[in-house]
Amino acid sequence: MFGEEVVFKLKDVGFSYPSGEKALEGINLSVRRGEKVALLGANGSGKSTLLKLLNGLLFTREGTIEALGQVLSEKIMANEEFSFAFRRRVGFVFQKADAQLFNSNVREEIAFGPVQLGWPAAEVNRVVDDVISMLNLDRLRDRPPFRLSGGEKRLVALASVLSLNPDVLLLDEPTSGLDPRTQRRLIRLIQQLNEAGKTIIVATHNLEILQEIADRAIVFSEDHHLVAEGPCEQVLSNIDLLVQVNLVDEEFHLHHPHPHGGHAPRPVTVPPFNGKKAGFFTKP
Amino acid sequence: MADFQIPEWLLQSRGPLPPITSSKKARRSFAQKSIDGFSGFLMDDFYAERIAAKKGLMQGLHPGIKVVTSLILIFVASCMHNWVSLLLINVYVLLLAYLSAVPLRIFLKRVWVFVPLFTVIIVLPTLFNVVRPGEPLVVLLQYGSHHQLAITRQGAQSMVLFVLRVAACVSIAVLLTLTTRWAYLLRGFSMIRVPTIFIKILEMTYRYIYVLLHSAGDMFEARLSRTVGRMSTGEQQKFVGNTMGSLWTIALGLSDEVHAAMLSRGYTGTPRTLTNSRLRGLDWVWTVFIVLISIILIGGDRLVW
Amino acid sequence: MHIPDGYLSPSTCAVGYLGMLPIWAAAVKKVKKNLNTRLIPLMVIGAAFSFVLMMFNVPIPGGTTAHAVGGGILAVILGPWAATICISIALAIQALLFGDGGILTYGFNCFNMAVVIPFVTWFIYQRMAGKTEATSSRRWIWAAIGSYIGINVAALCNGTELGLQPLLFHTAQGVPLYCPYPIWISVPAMLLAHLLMAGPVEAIVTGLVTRYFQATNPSVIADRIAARVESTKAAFNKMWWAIIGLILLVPLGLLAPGGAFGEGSAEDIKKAFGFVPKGLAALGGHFHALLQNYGVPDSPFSADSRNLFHQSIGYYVAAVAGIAIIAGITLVISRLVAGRQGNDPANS
Repeated sequence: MFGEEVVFKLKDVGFSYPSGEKALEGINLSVRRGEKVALLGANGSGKSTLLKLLNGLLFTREGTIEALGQVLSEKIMANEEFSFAFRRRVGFVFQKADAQLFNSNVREEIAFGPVQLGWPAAEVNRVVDDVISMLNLDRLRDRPPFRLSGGEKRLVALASVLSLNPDVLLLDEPTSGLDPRTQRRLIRLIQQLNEAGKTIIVATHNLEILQEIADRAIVFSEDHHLVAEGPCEQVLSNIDLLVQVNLVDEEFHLHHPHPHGGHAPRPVTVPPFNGKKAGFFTKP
Repeated sequence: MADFQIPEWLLQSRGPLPPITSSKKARRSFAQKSIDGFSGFLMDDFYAERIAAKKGLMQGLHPGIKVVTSLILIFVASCMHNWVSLLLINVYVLLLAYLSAVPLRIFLKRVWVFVPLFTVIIVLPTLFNVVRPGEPLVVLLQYGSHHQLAITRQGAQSMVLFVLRVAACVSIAVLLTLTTRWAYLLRGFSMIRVPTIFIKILEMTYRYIYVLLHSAGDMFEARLSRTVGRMSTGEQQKFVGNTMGSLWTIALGLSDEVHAAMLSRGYTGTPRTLTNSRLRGLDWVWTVFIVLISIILIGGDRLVW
Repeated sequence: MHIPDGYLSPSTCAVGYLGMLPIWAAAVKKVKKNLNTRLIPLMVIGAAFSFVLMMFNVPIPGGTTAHAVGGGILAVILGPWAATICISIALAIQALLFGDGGILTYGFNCFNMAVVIPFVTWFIYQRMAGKTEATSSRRWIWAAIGSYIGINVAALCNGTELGLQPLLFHTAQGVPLYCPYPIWISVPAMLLAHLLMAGPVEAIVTGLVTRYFQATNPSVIADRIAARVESTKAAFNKMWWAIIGLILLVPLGLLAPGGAFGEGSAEDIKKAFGFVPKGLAALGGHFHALLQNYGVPDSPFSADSRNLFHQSIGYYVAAVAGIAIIAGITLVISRLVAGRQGNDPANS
C-alpha cells in the first residue's frame, strides 16, 4: 500500500547521555516500510538508545531523525496531537517486561492503550479478546503481571502494544531469557506480523535467530558506530566483523545450518563514516 | 508450529501521520517529570563524583576530619546572632570551594537554587509591619494618620540573618558532599560514632537506589511510549500507584536475592566494613584551625561586631 | 516537610536527636529480633524504595504534580518500626547528598516523617481494618485515611517546631534568629498546606498502592512482614505510650535548654571564654569617636546597632587583617594538602 516508503531516516545521528557518556555516533540509516531489520551489537553498543530515539523517548541535537516523514524533536513530541498519532503508529516492546507491565491484571494491561483512545467499551473488549485469543493468553486473563513467567510476561508486553495496532514495532531483545519453545513462538509471531505488513525493528545480540527475525542486519561497534549493514547471511558469514564488534570470539560458528547458498558472498555495503573503520570488510 | 490467527483489524495499516491541525502543547506529563527527576539525580551524582576525584583542599583531607569540621562549621553558623558573621562564613566557604577546585557556578547553583531562594520567598511577608509589627524602616504606603504599610527594621534584619544562615549551612553541607565520595563520606561518619550497621545500610541503600531508579525510569518510559490519548487525573494517579506497587514487588524480590547472596557469602547478621584510613598531621592542623576559626567567629559574633 | 538547616536553633536540633535516639534504638532492636539476617537486605531495599518513592511525581488536579512522603504506605507494607528505619535512611541520603533537609535538623525531620506519619497511619489502619480480610476495601480506605491524618499530625509537629523558634530565640531587639513565624502562624500555615495539598496526595498514594497490592499480591499487606515485626501486641502498646510521652516531652524539652551555649548572650560567652578582646574594643571606641566627629551618617539599623555600627567600622580594620590571616593560613594548608595528594594517590 505504501510501497517503498521510508519509515525512518537517520542522518549523522549521535547521542550522548547527560553524563557525557557516548551512546551513538554518526549513524546514517534508513528503514523502509514493511522491512524486518535487526540492530546487532554487543551489550552497551547503543542499540537500546537508538530504539528510544526512534520512539521519541530520547532526543538528540546531533543529526536528524525523520520518522513517518516528520523530523522528531522534543518540540514536535510536545504537540499532543502529533505525539498521540505517532505513538499509535510506533509501538515499543521494552527489554524488561516488568517495566512495561503496570496494570493489576493481564486484561487491563492489554486494554490500557485502547482505553486511552476513548473507544467504546464494546470495541475495547473486542480488541482485547482478539489479542488474547490470538496469543492464547486466555488462562492468564485475570492474573497479575508479576505472577507470570518470563515468557508469559514478554507475550503480554507484546500484546499490550499490539492492541494499539501499530504500523511499526520496535522490539528490544525480545528473545532474551526465553525458553526455546516460547522463543520459537515469538519468532513466528514476529514473522507473521511482518508478513501482514508491519515494519519490524529488533535489537538483538542473538545470532542464532537473526535470519528468522530479520532480512537485513545493521551492526554496531562497541564504540557506538554503525559499522556494517547488509543481508543477514552476509553479516553472519563475516566472522571478522562479528569478532571485531565483540559479538563472538574466533571459535564462533552457528549451531544450526543457515542458507549460505552456492553463490559467492556479495560485498556488504559499508556506509561512509569518516572512513575510519572501512578496513573491517576487506578480509585478509 | 501452528500459525497465529491474526485478527482482521491487526492487518490494517494506520496509514500516514495525519496533518497536525492544532498546536496544543501537551503539558509536561508527570511521567516525563519523574524521568527528568531521575536523570537529574544521576547527573548530579555524576558531577559530584567528578569533583570529588579532583585534587583540592577538601578532597585531600581525611573524610572523618572533613565530616567533623563541617559539622562544627554548620553548628557555628547555626549559633551566629549577627549577619556579619554569617556573611563571613558564606564567603569563607566560597574560598574553600575555590581551593577545592569546585566550579563556582555549579557550587552557587547547588547552594542557592532551592533552599535559600525558597527561604527568601517564605520570609518575604515578615518584612512588612502588617505581618510582624516593628519599627518602620521604609514606609511604602500611608493610609490615615496612624496606619501605614512599611518594611520593618526587625523584618529586614531577621530576613538577612535568616537567609544568610540557611545559605551558610547549605553551602557547608554542599561543599562536604561535592568533595567527598559517598563511600568515604560514610566512613567519615563512623568517626562520630554512627553505628556500623547504619553505615553499611546507607552504603547498600545508595547502590540499590540506582537499581530501583533505573527500574522506575524504565516504567515511566514505557508508560510514555504507550501514551496515545488523554487520561484523567484519576487514571494517571492510578498509574502512579500501580507503578509504586510494582516497584515494591520488584524491590521485594530483589531483597530476597540480596539476602540469599549475602548468606551464601557467609553473612551472619553483623555487617563488617573496612577500617578507616589513618589520620595525619595535616588533618589535625586543619581541625585545630577550624576550631580556632569557630572560637573567633563566636567571640566576634557576640562581643565585637 | 523537610526542614533545612538554619530553620531551627542548635538546641532544638539537639532535642530532636535526643528524642530520636531511643526511637531508633527501639526500632532496630524490634526489627532485628524479628527479621534476624533478613533485617539488612529488607531495610536496604525498603530505604531505597522510600527514597525513590519521594522522587515520584504524583499528578494532581489542575495538571501539575506533587511529591508524596510515602510514610503511610511503608507503614502498611512494613509496619511502623521498619518504616521508621527505612524512611530515616532515605532522609539521611537526601540530606547528605542533596542538602534536602538539613544535617542538624535531621533528628526532627526523622521524627516528623519517619515516626509520626508511619505510626499514626499504622495506628488508625490497624484499629479500623486490622482484623479484616486482606482484600477488604476497609483496608485501603483506612490506610488512606490513616496516612492523611498521619501527615497532618506530622505537619502539626513541624509547625510547632518551627513556630517555637521566634518565641524562644531572638535578639535583644526582638529580631528572630531562626524561623521567623510564630506558632500561631506556622501551625495554621503548615496545616492548611497539608490538609489541602500534601495530605490528599499522601492519602491517594497510600490508598492506591494498597489497592494495587490487594488486587495483585494481597500477601504484601496481609501483615506478612509487618506481622513478624509486630509480633506481640502488648509490647506494641507499651511502645505507643513511649511515643506519646515523647511527643509531649519534645516541646517541653525545647523550653528547657533555652539558655544553652548556642543561644547564649554576650555575657554567657564572656563567662565561657573569660576574656574580651580589649585591644579591639579600645580601637573600636577610638574609631567611633573619630567617625562621629566627621558626621558619618547613621546606619539603617537600630539605635543599639547604630553605636555598634560606628564601632564596627573600627573593628573592620582589624577584621580585614584577621580575615587576610585566616585566608592565608587556609591557602597554605590547601597547598600542603594538595602536595600530599600528589605524593600519595591512595588517600583521597
